[in-house]
Amino acid sequence: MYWALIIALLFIVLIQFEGYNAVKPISPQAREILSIYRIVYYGGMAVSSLFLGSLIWIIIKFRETSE
Amino acid sequence: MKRVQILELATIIGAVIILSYIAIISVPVLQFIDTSPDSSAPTITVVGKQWAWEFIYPDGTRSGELVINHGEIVNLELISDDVIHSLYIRNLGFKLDTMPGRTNKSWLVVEEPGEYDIQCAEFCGLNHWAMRATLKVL
Repeated sequence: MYWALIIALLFIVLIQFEGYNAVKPISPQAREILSIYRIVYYGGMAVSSLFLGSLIWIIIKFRETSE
Repeated sequence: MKRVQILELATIIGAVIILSYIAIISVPVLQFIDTSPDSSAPTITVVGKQWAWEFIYPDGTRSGELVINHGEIVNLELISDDVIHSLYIRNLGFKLDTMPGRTNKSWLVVEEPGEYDIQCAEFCGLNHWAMRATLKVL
């Protein structure tokens, strides 16, 4: 359950940076490229969230305890 | 089937689906970018040389500045005098190589008047950094 929660939170945080450093498109070509970029970005962030979220969850779940 | 095998298979199938989807949606966009909507529109020849850009207009005028009207389609023919260069206009998402012995074709239409930077995006020698020009959109 926590695993899915960490991944979801991570995805929400990462997609906030979607427009970062992107220039305003001023031509039809630039608009088309930006639309593809957005799709690739969301796909990339979904995969990143899955792997980073899993890594964080593993670190927390299997951490060494003091006993 | 073991749980770990299902996970492995899901990872592979998931990656194939994502990559195939990106490939499929990219094809029409690539075609759109490459094919000029008006082949009879004025053609400007772009010459890349160490280390400057030269623009040759349909009337034969040569200039170091690319000047076009907004909303007007302009066809481009890119050639190189020496080594490989790359015409890069960041605001337009435009990047195309100029190669010796080959003519690369593309097109432009800019919707907003203004001045935009043109850079060389292919390392072309000592003064590559200084190979800049301006796109003026009237």
